[in-house]
Amino acid sequence: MPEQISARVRMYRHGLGDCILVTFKNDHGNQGNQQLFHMLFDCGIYKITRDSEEKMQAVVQAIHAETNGHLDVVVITHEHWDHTSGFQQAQQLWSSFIIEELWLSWTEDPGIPLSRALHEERVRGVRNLTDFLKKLTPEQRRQIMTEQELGTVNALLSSFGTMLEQPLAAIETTPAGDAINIIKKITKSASYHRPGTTITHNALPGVRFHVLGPPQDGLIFKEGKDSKSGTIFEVGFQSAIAQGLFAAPSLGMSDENEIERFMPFPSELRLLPAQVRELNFYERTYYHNEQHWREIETDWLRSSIGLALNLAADTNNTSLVLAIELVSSEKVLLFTGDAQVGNWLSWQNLPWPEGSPRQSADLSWSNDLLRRTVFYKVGHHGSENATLKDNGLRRMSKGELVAMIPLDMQLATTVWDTKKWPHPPLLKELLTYTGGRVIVADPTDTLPPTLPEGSEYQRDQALQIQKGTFTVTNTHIDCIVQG
Amino acid sequence: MINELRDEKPKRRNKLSLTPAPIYRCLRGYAFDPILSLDPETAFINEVVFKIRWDDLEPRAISNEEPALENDWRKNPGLGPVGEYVEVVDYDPASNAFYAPINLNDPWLLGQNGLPPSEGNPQFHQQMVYAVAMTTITSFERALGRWALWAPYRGSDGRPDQFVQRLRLYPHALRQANAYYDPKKIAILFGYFPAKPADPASTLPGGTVFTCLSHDIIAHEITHALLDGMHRRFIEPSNPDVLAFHEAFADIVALFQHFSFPEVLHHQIGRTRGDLSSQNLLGELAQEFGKASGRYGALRSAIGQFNPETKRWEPYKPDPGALERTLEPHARGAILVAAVFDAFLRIYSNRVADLMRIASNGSGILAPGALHPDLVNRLADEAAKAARHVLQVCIRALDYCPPLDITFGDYLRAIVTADYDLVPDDDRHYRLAFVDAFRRRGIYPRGLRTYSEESLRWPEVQEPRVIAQALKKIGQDLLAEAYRDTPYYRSREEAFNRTHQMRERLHELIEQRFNTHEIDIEQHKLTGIVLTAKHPFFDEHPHNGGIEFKDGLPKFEVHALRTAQRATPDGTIESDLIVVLTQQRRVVDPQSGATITFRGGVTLILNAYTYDLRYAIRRDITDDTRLNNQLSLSNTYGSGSIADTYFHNPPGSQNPFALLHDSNS
Repeated sequence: MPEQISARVRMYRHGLGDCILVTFKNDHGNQGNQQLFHMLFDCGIYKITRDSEEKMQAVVQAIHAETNGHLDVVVITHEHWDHTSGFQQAQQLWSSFIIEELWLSWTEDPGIPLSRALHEERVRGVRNLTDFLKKLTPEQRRQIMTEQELGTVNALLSSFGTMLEQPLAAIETTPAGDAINIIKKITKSASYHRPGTTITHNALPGVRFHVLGPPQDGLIFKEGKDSKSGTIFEVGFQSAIAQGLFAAPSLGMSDENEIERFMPFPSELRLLPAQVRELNFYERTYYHNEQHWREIETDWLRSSIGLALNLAADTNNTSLVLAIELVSSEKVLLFTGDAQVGNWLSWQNLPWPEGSPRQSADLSWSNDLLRRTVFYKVGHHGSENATLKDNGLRRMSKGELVAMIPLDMQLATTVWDTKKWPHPPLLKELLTYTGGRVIVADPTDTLPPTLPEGSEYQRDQALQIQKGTFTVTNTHIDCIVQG
Repeated sequence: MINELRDEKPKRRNKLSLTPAPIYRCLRGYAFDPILSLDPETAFINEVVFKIRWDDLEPRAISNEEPALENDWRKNPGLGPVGEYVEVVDYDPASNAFYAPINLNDPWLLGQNGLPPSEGNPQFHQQMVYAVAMTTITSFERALGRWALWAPYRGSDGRPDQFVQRLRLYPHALRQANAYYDPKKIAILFGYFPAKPADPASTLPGGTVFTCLSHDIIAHEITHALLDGMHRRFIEPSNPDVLAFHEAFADIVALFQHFSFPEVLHHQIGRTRGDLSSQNLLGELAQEFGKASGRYGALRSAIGQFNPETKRWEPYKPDPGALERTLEPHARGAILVAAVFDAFLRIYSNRVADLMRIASNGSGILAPGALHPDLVNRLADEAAKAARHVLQVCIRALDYCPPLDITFGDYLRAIVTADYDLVPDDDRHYRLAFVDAFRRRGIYPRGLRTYSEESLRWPEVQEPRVIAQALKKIGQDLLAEAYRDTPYYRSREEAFNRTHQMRERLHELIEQRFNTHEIDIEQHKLTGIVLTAKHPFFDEHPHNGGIEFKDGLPKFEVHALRTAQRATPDGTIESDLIVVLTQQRRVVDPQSGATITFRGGVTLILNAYTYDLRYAIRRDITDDTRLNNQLSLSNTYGSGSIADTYFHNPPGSQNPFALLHDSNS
């Protein structure tokens, strides 16, 4: 008979970023000899936050006080600054911790060629995009994107810890990745996890950690073998296109060879614009006095916006997803990092673990876990694309579910060019599925000032329900999942 | 009639010559895209000859000057190609280069049907986009019985809409795996990119893929431009079907154009033994693009897809629930494409049922082995005919659509009505095939009790008679004025400008004659727009419900005026006059605080000789339920792309007609 375990989830209210401490405790244990098991999910804050170092140091101090500087497991879900910055910003404090284990997704494993390649692509993508934006004159920038779009692209870049004003210094990694390396040095052992596996821990036999994502197949990356070398993998269709884009001669980002490699036709077929301007054909067409509105000088540069989006989203999709099962009560706590739809969809294809007594032909393994999910750390700060609806939220345990959203609402609506955080239709659905037991980490409030139209609860009603479910202090929010 | 198709016969060169002018200009090109030329099985069918109307290109006749020399394009104005409808401008801004325009009137090229297909010669790329563009435009004009017009240019200085004679085609405009029609520039921008195949054997890794060499991509984007020229409001996503319809329609045209290549058709009929519902090239789109971007097969298919798990191609099964779950425009559009293709397959198999019985000695089961070539010929004829009919009715149905806020259900009703008008006696059960295929995919028109052909047809206008009478009188007066000077138009520009004047006159006539309270109430039932300040709508809505006024009257627009000709199977020519009236409300979204435009309006179809009103297909401006649906659309969970997460106006929304939207690839 497995022992009865309950879990306390503590979400810190430091700003826009994830830092969540999960503490497991044995309910029937001898009072004097009670063992606590501390597990930390991420530790970061959004790049453009005022006093972010002070804020993160305060959080890490609080974690130290709570855990006596001993963490059984640290999980870093993915390489984004708002999930890793605290490891760097409070580096001094971390050196006084004892961290037994660090869990990362297989995409961070330097021993896997595909992971290495992914990593290189990511760094190259961030660097190229930053270089590219810096190369443009303000006039050119204005032509290809609005001020708001530029702000958003910059914000997307900052999710790696870099900025236009503050480009990538290191060649090998992004600042967000550097922060992971700091913890790697402190921890006793780092391990990398693949979907479909289950982690158990000697100190905590009543709990199973099921790894659901990131997927290993083409749902997020296309994986093609180079038949000649046999080992090198080609990663990312997007990055190949980006290479071609950034090799354009007018950008001056590449050498002659690279430029020529991506030219569609040999030089003898190319005519320089200055050569043709005066010619009759072009005076009648492209350079016609009344046809300037049809010119295409800068349209091709707009695809850089898509590249920025893809870089950020692809990294979100490498999030390590853990479904934590409390064995005796069969309850599940779900932590998805910032996994986007592609990651969620891939869980459906995971086979049942061998010999599982729950195995059924009518239900997939992930849906069985979702069905028993009573706690959900809302993915990607409550954005539109990081919580799957069918085969996602709608499969979770309606009525029992509790949800926490690590989000600074004020900041999110100013840095992203939209007023949708948390995404109102998602919040509405969360309110329904949790029976009002959903809370936002925002430092000043725990719900948006107005709830989405058609929500099942009035705002004061929902706040009342929050009081009965969560313990809220100025620095954190607690929620207990009984075993 | 206004806007009739030009019927000028090409002229002889001069009095002394007896040589008639050619009818067609023949140009070589790919039936699909370059990838099929790499496969020995398909290489020989992939090169086809497009027949383009001869008189399209400038100069209309070949001069008697010396044969064009290599550098002749520097002074010859008839290059590009630049024709009546399109102009190819080969500028590659990313490479900081122009590529010299091809001279299709060069005797060396005339003597060999244009350049041979080649990926390495940009002039062949120009020829390819031109040939496919013209083929697509021609099939559009044939079906509609009038000239194709592009969307007008709307300058920023408040000038009236200007005629745009030529759609501009940029074959090498972008360094990305994409192509799009830009409605602001009235131009199509094609991209090129390095290939990243999932299966390196299928295409050359690192080789350059040109979207302007894909028949399907060109036809798809040209169709976006043609549809935008006809229905400007189909760009506004007031319900989830609107943009999906744009995508679906563009795919439908590209797909059915495959059947116009006899070599391809014969080959595929032979290979599938006449069963076109099995995997075949005809039912798939953008082979090379799909493979080069890491997919295992074509970009899209109307009949089935490769399953990466089983490593097999599997046919789609109609899923009535898919429509509710699928909101991304391309994916949602694919449901409509599958429905139309399913209808085609049904029609085809009805048409060949007797042939199959004859060939199988009545058993219905063909003997193993290759089909007899005569049978292949007959099957191919039937397939080509069925495809032509289906494409025609799909295009013609555009005239029977509401002017805005279209749904798939509306389109089904438009198809059924358009086909009924053309062939009242449905002895080959075409309409049944459409109705059944749509029903099996859960496409239901709003507010219908039954799903019979009769109830699906737009109702013929019975009431209110008084308004129909008034419209008839207006039509007679308007046309009497219009044709006093010119019985027909000599150019597309003249058609555009004169139609513009007639729309203004029609606006005046409607304002004058529908100006009393009683008439307004009655005409609103028919048109869905309101024309007087006393309409009860204004009592019920503060701030006039967002409708603007001018000179004390609610503003409205005569959005379009056009004629449609159709030749019925019994040889008579029918002609309709189509009048589109629209109106708009500016409404504040209580959720986001943004102001949105909500539109209403009507497509009126009148007999062009008697001016009897036949159909009124309307969207009521006073319909607050529809308004609320439109408002809640932007507040639905699970509909957005990744770009929607970060951008209030996602960058893709500026190019709604991209082949792929960012972060979908």
